[in-house]
Amino acid sequence: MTIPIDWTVAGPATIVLAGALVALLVDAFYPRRTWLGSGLPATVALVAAGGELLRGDAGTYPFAFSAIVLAGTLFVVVASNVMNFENAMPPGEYHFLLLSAAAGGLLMVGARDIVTLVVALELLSLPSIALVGLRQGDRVAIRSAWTFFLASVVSTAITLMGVSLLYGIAGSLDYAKLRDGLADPRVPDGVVAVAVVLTVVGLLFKLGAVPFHVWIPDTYGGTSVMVAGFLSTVSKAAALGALLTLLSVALPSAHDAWQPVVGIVAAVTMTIGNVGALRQDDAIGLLAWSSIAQAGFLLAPAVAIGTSEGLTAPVQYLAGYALANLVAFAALAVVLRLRGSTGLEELRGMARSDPWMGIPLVLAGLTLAGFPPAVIGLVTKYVVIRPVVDSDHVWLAVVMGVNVMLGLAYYLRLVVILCDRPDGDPYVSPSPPVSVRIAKSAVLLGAGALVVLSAWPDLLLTHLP
Amino acid sequence: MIVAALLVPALVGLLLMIGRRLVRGRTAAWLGAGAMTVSLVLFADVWEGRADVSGEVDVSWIEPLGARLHLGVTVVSWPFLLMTALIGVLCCLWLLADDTSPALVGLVLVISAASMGVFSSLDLLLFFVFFELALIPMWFVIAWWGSSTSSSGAGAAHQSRFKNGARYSATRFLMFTVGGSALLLVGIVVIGLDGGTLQVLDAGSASLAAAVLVCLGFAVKTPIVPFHTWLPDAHSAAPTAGSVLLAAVFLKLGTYGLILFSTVLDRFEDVAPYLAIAGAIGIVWSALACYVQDDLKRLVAYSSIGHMGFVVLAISTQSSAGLAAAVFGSVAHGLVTGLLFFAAGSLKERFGTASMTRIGRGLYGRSPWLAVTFVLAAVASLGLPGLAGFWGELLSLRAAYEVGDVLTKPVAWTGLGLALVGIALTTAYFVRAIRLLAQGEPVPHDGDRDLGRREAVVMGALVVAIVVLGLVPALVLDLYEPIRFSVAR
Amino acid sequence: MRSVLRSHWLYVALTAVLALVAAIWAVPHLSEPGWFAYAPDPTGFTPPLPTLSPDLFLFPASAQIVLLAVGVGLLVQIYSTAYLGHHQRYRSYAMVIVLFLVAMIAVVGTTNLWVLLVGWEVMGLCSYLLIGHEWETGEARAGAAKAFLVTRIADLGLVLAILVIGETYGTYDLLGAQPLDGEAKNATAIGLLVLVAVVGKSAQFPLHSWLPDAMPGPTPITALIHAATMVAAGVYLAARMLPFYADSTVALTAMAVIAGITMLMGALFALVQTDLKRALAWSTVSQLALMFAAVAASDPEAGLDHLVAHGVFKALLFLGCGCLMHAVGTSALSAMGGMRRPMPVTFWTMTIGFAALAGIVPTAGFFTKDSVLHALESATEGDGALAGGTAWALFVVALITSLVTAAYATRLWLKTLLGPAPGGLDAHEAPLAMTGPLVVLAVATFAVSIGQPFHHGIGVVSTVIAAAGIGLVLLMWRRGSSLDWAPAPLAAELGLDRPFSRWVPRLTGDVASAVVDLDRDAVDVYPRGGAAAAALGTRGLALVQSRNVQRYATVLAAGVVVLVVVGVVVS
Repeated sequence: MTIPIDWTVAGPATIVLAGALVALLVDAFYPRRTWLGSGLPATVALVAAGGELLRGDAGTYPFAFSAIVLAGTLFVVVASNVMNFENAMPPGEYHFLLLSAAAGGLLMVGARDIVTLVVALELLSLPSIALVGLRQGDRVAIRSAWTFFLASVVSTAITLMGVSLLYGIAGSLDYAKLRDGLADPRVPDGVVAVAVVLTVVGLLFKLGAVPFHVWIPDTYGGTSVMVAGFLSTVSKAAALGALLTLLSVALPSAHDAWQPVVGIVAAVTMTIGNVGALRQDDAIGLLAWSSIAQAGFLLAPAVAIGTSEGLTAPVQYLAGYALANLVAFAALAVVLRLRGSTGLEELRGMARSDPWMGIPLVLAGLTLAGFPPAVIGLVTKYVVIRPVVDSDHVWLAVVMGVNVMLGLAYYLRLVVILCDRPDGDPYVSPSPPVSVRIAKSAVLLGAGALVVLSAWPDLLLTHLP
Repeated sequence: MIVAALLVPALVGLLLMIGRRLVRGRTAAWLGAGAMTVSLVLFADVWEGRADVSGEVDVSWIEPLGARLHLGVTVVSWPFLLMTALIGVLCCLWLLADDTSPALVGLVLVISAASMGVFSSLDLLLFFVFFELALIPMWFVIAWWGSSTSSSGAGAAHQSRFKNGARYSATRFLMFTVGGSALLLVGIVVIGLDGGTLQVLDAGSASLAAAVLVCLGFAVKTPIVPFHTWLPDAHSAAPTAGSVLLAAVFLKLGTYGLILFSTVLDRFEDVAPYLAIAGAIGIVWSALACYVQDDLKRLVAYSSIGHMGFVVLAISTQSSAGLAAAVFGSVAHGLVTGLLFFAAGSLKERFGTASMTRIGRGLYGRSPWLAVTFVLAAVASLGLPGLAGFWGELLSLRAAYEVGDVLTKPVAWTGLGLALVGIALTTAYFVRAIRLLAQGEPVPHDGDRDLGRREAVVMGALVVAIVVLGLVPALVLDLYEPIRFSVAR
Repeated sequence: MRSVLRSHWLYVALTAVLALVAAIWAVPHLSEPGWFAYAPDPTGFTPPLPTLSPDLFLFPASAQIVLLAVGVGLLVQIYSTAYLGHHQRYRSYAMVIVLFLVAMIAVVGTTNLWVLLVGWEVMGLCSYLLIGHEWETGEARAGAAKAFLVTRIADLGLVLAILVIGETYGTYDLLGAQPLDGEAKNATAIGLLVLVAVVGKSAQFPLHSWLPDAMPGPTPITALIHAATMVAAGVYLAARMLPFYADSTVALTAMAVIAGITMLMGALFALVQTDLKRALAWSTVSQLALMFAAVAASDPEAGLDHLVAHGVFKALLFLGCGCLMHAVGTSALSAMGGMRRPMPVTFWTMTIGFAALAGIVPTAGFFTKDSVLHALESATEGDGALAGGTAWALFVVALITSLVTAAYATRLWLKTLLGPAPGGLDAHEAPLAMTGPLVVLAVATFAVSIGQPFHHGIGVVSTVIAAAGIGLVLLMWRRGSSLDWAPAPLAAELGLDRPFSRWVPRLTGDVASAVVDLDRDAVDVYPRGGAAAAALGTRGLALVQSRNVQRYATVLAAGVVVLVVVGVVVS
């Protein structure tokens, strides 16, 4: 079987992979373990890949997801400087794995047949698992990686079952041929339904949708903050892009089978995620559950995939979500480095005692909650409800509304703790490494972007697909 | 001009919050009062006549969604705007004290500005943004500057779990309101898709879902029974300025929203009977609840539910008398209940409690002017003709009596009957409150102190407004004389 | 400046100016002919939104009432300088009286129904404030609250009546709304609603009990508000609105029945009281009913004439009662007696008042009661809206009431002014500021008679009846009776007050407590239940999140099975 190569998709991925190798080599030849040595080639590779992406056919749908994957990874790379001089963290391997996973994400988004999709999924998954367990001598991290790995294997196995069924039905794994094959009226509906549901499991797993979310709280809590940030944004973006492409290009004729499933999964996901977040006492745990809930919001418009907004709305929501989430994770990474903990009590009064980190966190929280003054969060919520209503899923829209309320319960808690009066002087590491400033500037840049987007949501809404 | 009227208080508020260490509380309050006065003057000046949209600003905002920065003053929103600005000024003046936190003044300003933004929005999404903008600041006002309510509140057992009752009440308030506004958001989405536009003046929706969602959303905010249980807790826990803003301004976001959206929703008529009956039940229900309250702030809070019931009953008739009733009732309730909360706040400052039994009897003798002000506010609130509270209720009765276009006679007259029972009960509980507080053998207390200058100025302004509106209702009603209900269409 | 403000005479002067202005305005109207005879205004049928327009209109009867109000008001202000001048809250008291007079003039003089309503309710408020003037005492508080509640609930009838008038006639102006020759529409509805309003304001059965309970108020206030003006305004309103419902047999019959019951009941209650003020209050209730009887018999002029005469002599009696209370310190009958020598002015003026109450020639009370009885007798012919039989019954009840009235007037006269002085009593005449108004009112009691019509047939009958009543009581007095009858049901006022003083408040309180409980435990269940469910969910999720990979795999597998089933079933 020959796989046609579409260089507009493969080009950026190739550049990123090359950058990953260069980063590993630089680290091997200059083993000074400084973060910049391997971080610089990684940064250059990501920027170059971005240039390549722009040079290609920028109007296509995967472009937006690819851009989010690249920008998200770039943000993670910059913010990861916060881990400079942490002896347990090998920078060369870190950047190598990160960029490999990003390349996997790019390929997933661009995949036009299921084999590529599965391979890309693995290219994303395996480095991700390694990243989670990368911190040397950290037993919790290794255990988290182990959990992640097992869950990942189970879901991949299930997906492969679905894929084989699909192959059996349609005789091909190419999206275009699948589409025609499934449209054949002789194919029994039940079998199609089973095949489709099983196939999307792997992607729902990556997205963190219920009931495939169980690994998320453990994994996010057990790994480095920025790795968690990567998983919650770049990895989700890739999964969402792949899922939407799969559903809209390959499986539109099986629409009846997956639409209710997607709707129910979205509703349950956002509800479970929000309920789980209610009583978290650690900011990372809170964001982990919140990212589950947000996955529900990302998934919901997929019920309206037939309409044009069914495809654009998730992208726009994803962009706002990813930006806010990365800002939050990066700020928390800084907090962890300086204060040694991300417990909510640790954050008390941070908007007053450390406004340069506290206020971006407040802003990120409000964006995720969809609450003014973070108008961008509210507008993207509006955007994402629109196609759901348009496709007559008013019940799902109401569930989304209720979940906006539920979500506010814990985002408000975060915001209130941040704005509260500080309890005495918090412990702050006396000599923060200079590279923390780089991470801080990433946070501020991201927060600035949120402010600009809140003032002109038009910027986001007209420029993404 | 509208933009300036909104930005001035918002910016001053933000600066006060940022520079809270740099200014004294008194200075901050003066600055706040000045900013709100600027708004008041600008909004008064922008008026171009009832047929037009005054001071219209229409700038592109979010092109793909068809949302625009569309502001303007209409015949419906103008009285709301002036009332809000006036209440804002008075709240700032009320905070004229050395121990006032500048941040509190800042929050009051931001809340007022956001509320005025709601009233002047002519774009549904912009309306919603302003609608939500005021909520979190209000949470802070209640939770940080409020005080725990008496243990008679709903969920007293739950309160004990929380560090303080004010925080619990604030969170309840926020969760209820956000729950309602989330439904409203879905409703706005439906309207936007249905009519293809978010501009209030052009929008229209034939969807029943939109009508139900929007009305449910505002039912929480207004509030309409049975979505009212957040209100007594929040209003009684909030600090005086917060209670006043909540009652005078926040509830009006609900009634104004209902008025505005009822012009957009074609299927409003299907929801109207339920609104009418729920509103009327609310009048009786809240009056009965007031009849056995001991906490004065809770009593005033419950009485607000009744007043809002009259407004909702009026809106549900969709007649011109109903429109006038809704606007007049809302504005008058803002002034009267504002005065009641200021009076209750004065008592709470003096005695550390709003419990009527603990404040003790004979205020007529102990602090006569405060007692007289309270009695006047109570009498205005129970709808004595000649004071502002009456005309709104009267027009509601008239609207219900004349049935209007969308209700049926059994429904409207049931509402009318319930409203009459409610008026009788309202008289009863206010007479009871006067008897418990103002009259009786005076029991001297250390806190006995008559009105100070600051209190006298703030309350005096409201008293004047209440009497003037009571004797010259035409000031507001003339706006609605020949215009039919669908004015905003 | 301060001393001027503190001076009692400032308020008297204020009232005097008001009285003067009102008199200059009203007096010319006294001689203008005419009764409710205005042209209808054919403006459309969408009533405008309410405004308070200052349109005024007086006809002779209303001009008389304005003069009565300001006259009695001025006398009461003068009287109060001595009676209450020492009181620390005199100023607020005097100002509320002025406010009351303004409201009363507005009610009588306006043609705008909203102004009328405002005045009507402001009068109620003033009454409430003045009854509760001595708010330290529980009785005053209770009486004030009851008066305000009962009248305000009844006032809702007036509000509704105005709404119906507006909808029927398309205007809220009395001049525009008068149906001259045309058919009066919605007559029964308007009539019954007006009846509700006036029954409350004028303390008629079944809303009568607030008036006797209002007696803890200062006595001059009782004279002004609860005898001469406010309670009588109910009669004025019924008369003023009569053209709206004159055709309605239902409304007029209801009014007749209420008037009949009330006049006899009030008179009987007055007969057995042991307290002068309370007895006079019941007497007022009975006399007001007599006026309503005239209105029901479609002769409002007779009713209004009696209103004026009654206002004068009842104010006289109450102010005299105030002088007695000033002297003996209480209004209990047992504490009075033998006043002729120590208090000659009070004695003689009050004697004139009692004579007028009993209906003795040539006092005003005789002539105006004569007119009322004549009106009732005319109605027995049955050519009006009131059926002949009803009118007959009413006429007979009115005659019986006359008998009882003469009897209780005599009894009160004997027990308060004559008879043996109780031991230890050191009564002395009241100061000039108090006796002066008495004299003026006593003169007025005769002066009002001038020009009153006289119907000799009825006049003879009523004089005979009055003489019988007086004679009967005098006979018993001579025989040594103490005149203290108190048959148990009458002494308990037939228990008619029980629903208002016990059942309704208790029921309301119980229902209200239930509502508060329901509000907390039933209505609030959904948010609290939701919060509890969310908390439970959080805990449940924490259980799943056990870091046990096998459990995760189980969840995954179960989830897949569920999703597949959903997918298959739905598709």
